[in-house]
Order: sequence, then structure tokens, then C-alpha cells
Amino acid sequence: MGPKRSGASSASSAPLPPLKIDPTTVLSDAISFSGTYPITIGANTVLHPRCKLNSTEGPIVIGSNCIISERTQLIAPDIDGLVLGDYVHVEVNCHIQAARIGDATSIEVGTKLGKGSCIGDNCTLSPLSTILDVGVLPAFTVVYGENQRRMDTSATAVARNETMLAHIDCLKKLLLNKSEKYTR
Amino acid sequence: MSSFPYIHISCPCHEDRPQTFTIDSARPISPSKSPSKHDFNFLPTDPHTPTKRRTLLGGFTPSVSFDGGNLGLDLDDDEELTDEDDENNFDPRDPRSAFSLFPIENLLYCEDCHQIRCPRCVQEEIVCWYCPSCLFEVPSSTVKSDGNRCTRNCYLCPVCTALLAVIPVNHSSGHSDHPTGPFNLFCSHCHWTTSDLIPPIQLEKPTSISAQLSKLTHSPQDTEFIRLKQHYAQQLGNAQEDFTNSPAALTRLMGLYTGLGSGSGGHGGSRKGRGVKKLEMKEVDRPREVNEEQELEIVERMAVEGLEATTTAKQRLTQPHEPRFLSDLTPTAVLLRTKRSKRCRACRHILVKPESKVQTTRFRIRLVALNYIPSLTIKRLDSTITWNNLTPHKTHRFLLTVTNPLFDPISVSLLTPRRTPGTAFASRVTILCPEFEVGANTDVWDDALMSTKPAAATPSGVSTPPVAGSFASFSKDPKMSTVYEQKMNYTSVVIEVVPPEIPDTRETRIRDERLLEIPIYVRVEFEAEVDRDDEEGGGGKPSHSGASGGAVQRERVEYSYWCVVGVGRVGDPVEGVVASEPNTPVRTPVGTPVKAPRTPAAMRTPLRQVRS
Ligand SMILES: [Zn+2]
Ligand SMILES: [Zn+2]
Ligand SMILES: [Zn+2]
Ligand SMILES: [Zn+2]
Repeated sequence: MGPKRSGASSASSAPLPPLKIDPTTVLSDAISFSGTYPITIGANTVLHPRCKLNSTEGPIVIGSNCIISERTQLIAPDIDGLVLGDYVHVEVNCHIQAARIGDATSIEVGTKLGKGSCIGDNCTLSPLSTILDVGVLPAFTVVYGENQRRMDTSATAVARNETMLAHIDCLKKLLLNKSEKYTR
Repeated sequence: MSSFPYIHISCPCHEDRPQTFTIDSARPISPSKSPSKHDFNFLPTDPHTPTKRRTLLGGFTPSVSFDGGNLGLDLDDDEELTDEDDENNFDPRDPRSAFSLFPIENLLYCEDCHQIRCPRCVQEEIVCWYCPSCLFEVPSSTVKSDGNRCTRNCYLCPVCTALLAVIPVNHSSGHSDHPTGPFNLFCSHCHWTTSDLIPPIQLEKPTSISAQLSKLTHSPQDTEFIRLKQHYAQQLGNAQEDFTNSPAALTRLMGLYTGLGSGSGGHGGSRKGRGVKKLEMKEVDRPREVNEEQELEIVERMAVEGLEATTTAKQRLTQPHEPRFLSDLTPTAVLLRTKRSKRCRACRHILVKPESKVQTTRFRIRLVALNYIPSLTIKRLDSTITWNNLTPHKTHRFLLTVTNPLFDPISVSLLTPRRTPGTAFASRVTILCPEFEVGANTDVWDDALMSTKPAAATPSGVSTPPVAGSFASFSKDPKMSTVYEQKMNYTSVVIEVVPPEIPDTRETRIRDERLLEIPIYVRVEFEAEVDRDDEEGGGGKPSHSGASGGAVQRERVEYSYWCVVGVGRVGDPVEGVVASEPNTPVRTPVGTPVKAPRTPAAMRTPLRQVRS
């Protein structure tokens, strides 16, 4: 996306894709929506400023209680679209072209998810991990180190979801909600 | 290798002969003022004995990187260029010099020896031990008794080496300030927990983890260690009275290692002929036991659980019991770190002394070379130059900037061999203005402000920045023979490099012939204040500055060092760019070297005093 000032300014130049946004969703300033397929965002989800959602190839569906961080790109890979579950945390500077991301999955800084990849529930991808195109990650997989993998048996999923909620509560106090800008 | 460009400074310790210094007093000079003439009193030795260098080149280099044919070439080249200066040139490819080349940031400076000190010529001393995780200082007596790991609550994940956190096993919703046990150690990076172990480790309290863990993770290796420790402590205790300075004690000690005193048998005459009474030092004579049943069990388990359940070599070796399976890994206590002070090896004066408090990162003493010797930087004058792909036969222009850290203005001479030494594929190097002045480092604030706006660094010497292929206009500019830019406390000059065509030798040889490194000899002269009488030299000459009434004298100080500029790698030859030996853009004829050997003696004295 070329223009520096996306979001509202891009709204004037290019039409926004059809948005279906829950009233409790927090959309920050300068989010870039592009494409023509619909984008759906669930309840209590927070989108940081300058994240980019591209629905040119297919629809994007984001579940509830998710966090999408700055400079992260969500790109629908194909007509089947990109579907994020609930409690998904996508950190800064990720490049996501996955088809599915399961519930309570944490994707850390600078991760690249290849086109059409499928990430299961409760996965953790440590910073700068890479998943190849059409790669499949079973539920409870942890990707760490030099693309090493292990199964998460810590049973901390519930606790982590609670942490997510606290995180979102905090973000809601800090971030300005500019939802109305995109949903006029 | 390192990314281009780089500038490494040669520490004088690469010379084979130790240097002789005459320091008439150990007068420390404060970093706020420049070293004076007095401080550079020094008996010069010849750092680059030609015969020595030759021997090295003939005897050692070929075995490393040369085949016979090239060796001949190399020597021919040497002979062709043989003149007095060439023999004194610093060869960056000399095996010996490789050990002494460091970026200026890595170098220290000894105020008493008035020499650069590299990591090779300093001595380190431990100031304190501390845990990098909890930042608690550990007394060295505890380190000796309890080992070099944190004995508090700091543990690392055995799978991924991240720090472990204590979490309750049963997650209770709601905000309870006092979570109830049992507790797990949990890695927030890879989600490993102590419950993954077989049998799982669960702690009762969230504190004093070391004590709890040592009870829970007790391997046979620990038992063995305790047994050995007891054995030797007993032996030592028995021998305590004998361990005086008696020769018998020494013989017995020696006997321990020659096998005579060991109880392992095989040396029949071990006891005979020795006047020692009951005491005989004994090694623990038990061989390492391998239990076949256990080993078979391991093989079986591997077959069932597969490769994924086994540890990597790295994981295995960081644990004392060398576990084969992931489920046998135990949390690793954090290794302690040290703060160290550094001393000059020659004069034992302290060069670096950190604050002994663990939490502070300040230094009490830190004599870094950056504050004492001018630093060089190099940048492209022409942005089309790619560092990794210099074009053969093309004239590349770089800007060499000398920055003065001293509070006196300095005059700098940059001397470089006309052809890069030590290689059969020498590049031609010309420094357009090899002698110039650099202003004093007067105002720290001005300096700081200058560095924040690099846009201000527009060429003041030339009105139009030169473009590639337009050196007609470039060479006509009369100012090019002067400095390119002169500001505050730095001066920039142009350096021209014409690399030859060089075959790519990276595949076939150890050394990369295409690597273009230029040795530059930096000679610095300045007038420094001498704030007290100099018995030795004070009577000889009157002071330079007429302003003084005898109280403050100004005297001339000279010192010098070699540095190596890694300009880049020469690329493949480019169509159309051919050797242009006769009409080189270099102003001075090829016959006259621009390296300005006006004071050839200076080439041989790295640190020399001039009485003027
Ligand atoms: Zn050294
Ligand atoms: Zn600690
Ligand atoms: Zn871990
Ligand atoms: Zn010293």
C-alpha cells in the first residue's frame, strides 16, 4: 500500500471494502482497509493503528477478543478467505496470508504465515517464525528457536485467554476508538 | 566477512620484538587534556624489520594460501617495488598482523605507556560475580563453594534457554493475590513446564526454588559427584599435615599423576622404595559403569517415543546428567556473570574499571583509544560504488575523514603504499591530499550538534560533487589537491583506488584475493601544553608559543600508527572499463609516490618524539 496516510484519507480516494464490524470493536486511526470482499470483525477485538487488511482476493473474518498489532498485514489468500478464531493475538509487523488461524493462537513479532497456511487452535509462534505456503500447524504446537516445534502441554490456555481479556481492557483505555470513521 | 567498509587499527603488539619504553615518571595525564611531549618519551624500535617480514612471507604465507606459481609472482612484485619505504609497509595480509587489527572501538589506551592496547595486551581481573537475571552479587567465596550458578530463584528453560517463571499448576480464575500451590516452572517462550517431566516436578512454594529443586531432582551423577568430593576431601584432610613444603609431598603428588600412587593397579612397584608411611594418594579407581539393562531400556524407549522425544546435543551437554530424553531435562540455573577490570600488561596500570555495584553500568576508569587517537572513517564519494563489487580498472573515489578527539589541533600525514602490499594483484592507491590539519575538539556541545545534522556535511571544498565518468572537470578543480572538507575537529580528504582484475579465489584458497584492504600509516603531530618543568628536554629548546612566560610551555608531540581500510571486494571485470595505466586521473605522475616519504625515518618509529 503506497500512501502514507491510509485509513480515512484512503477512504476518500478508494472505496472501503464492505465492513461488518461489531459495536464493541475498537478500530484505531489510520487502519488500511483495501479490497472488495467483505471484512468481518468480531466483538471486543482491537485493531492497532496502521495495521493493514487486504480483501482483494477473498473475505477476511476476525473473531472476538482478538488483538491485531501495528504494521501487521492480513491478506486473504484466495476466495475462501482468511478466518481468524477468537482470542487470537497477532503481534507487530507480521505478514499473514494464512487461510485459517485457530482460537487462542498467539503470533509474535515479525512472523510470516505463508499463503494458504492453516494454524490450529492454541498455537504459539515465537518471534520471526515462518510458516511456508499451505503449511499446516496442528493444535497446541509451539514454534520456537530455529523453526523447532514442540507440543504445548502446559494447560495454560485458559490463563492466557484471561490475560488477553485484561490486555484488551487496557488497550481500550489507551487507544482512541475511531470505528465510526470506517462505518459511516 | 565483515561488512564494508571497515577500518581496523593495528595494535603495536603485533610486532615480534617487545618494545622498550623509557617512562621517566608514571605521571598520569587526565583525559581532559592532550598527552604532552613529556608523555611520549620513548625509545624507538624498528617495528617492521624487513628481514622478519620476508621470512614470514616466504615461510608461512605460501603454506596457507599460495601455490608455488603465485609465490614466485609475489616475490617478483616485491622485488620490483623494493625501495626503502616498501619494506616498511604494513601488510594487512601478513598472518601476524591479522591478530593485531581491531576496530578503534575495541581498543584501549594506556596513558602510562602511551600506547594503544588491544584485547590481546590487556589483562582482565574479576571485580564481582552476579546473576544477570536477579542482579544479585555473589561473593567469590560462595562461587568457590556453591559453583558459578545462581543459587536463588533463577532458572532457564532446558528446551529453549528462556527464563522460567513460577506459575500455579491449577489455574484459578479471578484475582487472587496469593495463589495456592503446587507451582510449576513455566517457560513463556516455548511453554515448557516442569509438569512435562517424568515424573513431573511440582513445587510447594513459589520461593526458594533452588532448595526445593535440589531435593526433587537428584540424579545418580550428583551422588557420584558427592562421593568423589568426599573421597578427595578425605585424602586431602589426611594429607594436610604432609602438605608442607617437604620434597616428599611433591614426590607423592607427582606420583599421583604418573600412576605410581594410584590404586588402579598395573604398577606393581608402586609402594616399593618409598619412604611414605600410611599416606598414599589414591584416585577413585572405579571405571565408569554402563548398565546394559539400562542402555537397552533407553534403546527401547527411543524406538517407542521416536526421535522427537530425544534431546539435541546442545540440550544434552548443558545438563550434568546428559539426559537422552526431553522428559529427563531439568531446569538449568542461570550462569553467573562477571564484571571485569582491565590492566595494561606492560605497566599493570588499570585501563578499565567498572563500578562494582551490579546495578550500575557506569565505569570508574575507562581509557578508550577513541579519546586519544584520531579516528578514521571512509565513505563513498560516488554513490554508484557498491562496496561488494568494485569495478576493476575503474578509479573509485572515497572520502577519508580524520576526526580529532584531542583538545589541540593536530597535523596529520596519511601515508600509504602506492600499490597495496602483500598480494600479486596490487591495487593502485592515491591519497590526494596526504598532509593536512585537523582542528581541535574544542566544544563537546558543538560536536554533538554537528553530528545530529549530517546534512550539514556538504562538501565545502568542491562546488559540484563529482560524478562517475566526469573526472575531467573533477581533476581540473584545483581545490582537489587540497582537503575536501574541513570542519570543527574533522577533515576529509579524497582517496582514489584503482583495483586490478583479480581472479575469484574464494573457492580455491583460504584467503580472498579480491578483498581490497589498504594499509594507511597515520602520523599525527601536534603541540601540546607542558604544564611543568621537563628536566630532560626542557632546557634544550625554547617553547614554541611566545605567549608563555615559562609557566606553560608548548611542545611538539608526534605519534603514529598503522590502520587498514577494508574498502570492499573487487568484482568481475566490466565490459568497456579497461586498464588505463598511462592517463590515470591521478595528478602526480605514477613514478612519484604520493605517500610522501618526506620523513622516511618516521615510518620506522611508530611513536616518536620530535624536538623542535
Ligand atoms: Zn595489542
Ligand atoms: Zn539469580
Ligand atoms: Zn522454553
Ligand atoms: Zn601501560
